[in-house]
Amino acid sequence: MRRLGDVGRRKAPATFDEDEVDAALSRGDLPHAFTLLMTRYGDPVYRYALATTGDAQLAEEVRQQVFVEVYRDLPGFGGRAPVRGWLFTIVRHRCLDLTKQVRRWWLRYKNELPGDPESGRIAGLVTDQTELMDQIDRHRLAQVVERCLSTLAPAAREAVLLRYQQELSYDEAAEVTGERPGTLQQRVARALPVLRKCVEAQLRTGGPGGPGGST
Amino acid sequence: MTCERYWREGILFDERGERDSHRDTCDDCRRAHRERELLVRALPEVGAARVGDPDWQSHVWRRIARRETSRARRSYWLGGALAAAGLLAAIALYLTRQPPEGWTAESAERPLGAGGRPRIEIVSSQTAVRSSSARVGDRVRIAVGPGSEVRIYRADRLVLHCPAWQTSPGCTPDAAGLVADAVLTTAGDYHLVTVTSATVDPAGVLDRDLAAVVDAGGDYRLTDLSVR
Repeated sequence: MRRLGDVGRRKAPATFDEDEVDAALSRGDLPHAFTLLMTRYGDPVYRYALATTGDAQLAEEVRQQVFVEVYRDLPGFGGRAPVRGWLFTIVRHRCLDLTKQVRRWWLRYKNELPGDPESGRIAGLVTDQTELMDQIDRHRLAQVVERCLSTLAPAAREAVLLRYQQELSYDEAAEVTGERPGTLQQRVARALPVLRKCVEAQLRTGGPGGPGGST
Repeated sequence: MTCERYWREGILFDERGERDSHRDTCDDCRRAHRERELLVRALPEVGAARVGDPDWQSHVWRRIARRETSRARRSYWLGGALAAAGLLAAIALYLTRQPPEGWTAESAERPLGAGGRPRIEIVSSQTAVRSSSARVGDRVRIAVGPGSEVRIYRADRLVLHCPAWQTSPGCTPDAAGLVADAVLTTAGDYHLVTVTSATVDPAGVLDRDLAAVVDAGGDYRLTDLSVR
């Protein structure tokens, strides 16, 4: 039976086999194991970092730092835990580190914070129930959702991304963040209504893919 | 008046994977649930079209190579600090192997012995020294052991390739392996690479070539050289 919340869940590409990574590691073939990981997780790591930091350059930096770190620690990793959870724990820390560095830089040299999106402003603009979301395709909806993710508080955004962009279970996401699964469930349950209101507001005002937007 | 219960409470049932019996009898909540499903389906697509730098893997390999090089240097110095007596002995040994002061270009032409390979020397017009910098017009001589090969890159592009055992301009096999000899004609950053167990020919771009060596199970040593 399909669990609620598993909607849209995608399988890892058939070309990736975590056992192959384990096998490569056990015969000491670190470069092969590492190449497999880069191929499989390079894009997901970048997308997560991009959605978390909102900055393409920063996301690229996160991705490269993460994999350098993975290369360093992979021999000692030895399949103690699922690779994905381990990897995203590193990704999360690097995102936090770099975001803090950027904030410090802005505060020191510009005496302000980097572009603060319309946090909290969009939510609440729409009060009536609509079915606008039904009217656009998933790709365009994803564009609007991407924009709206920046309106969430960092902890809420992190929980939503780990659960639904990276499709980790709540238990896996809890290992990555060090929070309890129930806490993450609460965060997601509070974040999704905010996200939905933002999406509807964007669609109403002609955001990407909105009724007035281009195709 | 619409029912807002789903967004307040019902959604948590979904996140927990539990059944919400109220939804079975409430049209508003069913519609809200459908909106939540659309949202959740869209989230895996967020950023899907954006892949970042297409060469990011090469950059990662390069960072790893640099880190390995600097770690090797750091280990060298730390080890030396911890074992001062051993270091002194090593220095004494090292000095006995150094070419004498004033070693001329002519004397630099003599064959390099098998000991201590791979070995890199900068041959200026006056002396041969071990160094990490050189001037335009100097020569670099790299001696490697049997089966190893030498690659010299300038601005990340291959300028000299000496495959193992093969004779070609600037590449001379000898009894102890191979000696590559090149004139540094242009200022800039050079990368001197010695490769053991090479199984793939270089494509000509540093990052890719190093990645290919590692992929093929080979090993390499990278030395940066600044030419002014």
